[in-house]
Amino acid sequence: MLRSGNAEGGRGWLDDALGVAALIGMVVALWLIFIYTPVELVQGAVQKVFYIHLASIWNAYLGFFIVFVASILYLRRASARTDRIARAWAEIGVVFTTITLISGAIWAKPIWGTYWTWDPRLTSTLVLWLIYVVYLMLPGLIGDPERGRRYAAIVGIIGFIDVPIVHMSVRWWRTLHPDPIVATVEGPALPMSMWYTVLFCIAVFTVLAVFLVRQRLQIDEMRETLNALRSPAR
Amino acid sequence: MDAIQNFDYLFAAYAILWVVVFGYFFFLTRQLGDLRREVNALREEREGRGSDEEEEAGA
Repeated sequence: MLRSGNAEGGRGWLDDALGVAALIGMVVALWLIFIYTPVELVQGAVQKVFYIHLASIWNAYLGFFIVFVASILYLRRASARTDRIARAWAEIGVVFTTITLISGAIWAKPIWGTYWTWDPRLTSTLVLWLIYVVYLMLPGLIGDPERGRRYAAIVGIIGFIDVPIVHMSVRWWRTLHPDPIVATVEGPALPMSMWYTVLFCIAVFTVLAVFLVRQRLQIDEMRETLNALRSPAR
Repeated sequence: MDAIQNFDYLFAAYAILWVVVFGYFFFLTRQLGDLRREVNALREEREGRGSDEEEEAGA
């Protein structure tokens, strides 16, 4: 029988398809990054960190946007499923913000001469990471789980304010971080080969994020099944 | 700029990407596996108890 996933925690055909697509996509992305795109003249090989750096922050923005929407829905009507979706995407957002921060620091060392500087873009991204780490920890820190989830939803809504701040920080303040070269009014300031590679990496990372979120949601569903089995009422 | 040194940084960035992504994936898979085993064990226990009760009722 074809299943897209199930409450037993088993992987369905959709999970398998997403996993295989992400894996093949990653291999193709590596070929595009290392073979297809040219080496940048000024920065050299380390410029190729840009592709994973950008695709990672895209996943983080996407994850935190879904947390924002799901948190609004949760405050309107407290639904366990909405909370589960929000928490799964928050976790993915934190994982990819971590990759963004680390890959950025590694790129910065040979280019700026330091792994870290309290630059507006870097600082606001670190704040973003901290906001969603707190978001994930909050229900466990507050005794009443229902209240904890509501507080987390409030953090999920207010915390999203930092996303446009991170994005616009390079325009609003003097910063060491390079100016936007993809999301600009004039269009991408990149050679076409680099532009196609950026788009492909974003697509592959999105598939990977959806795959990981589905795994995360299955864990929550299994936990619920386990709690129901343990409950003395049954 | 030292191109070879730059290549070390490039390698480090991609290695960390794979470590974080696969590490997270294996963390999820392991959790899911443990939970599945626990659910199956509880179900079997319940089914066993259920059939014992049926046998007792039949006797």
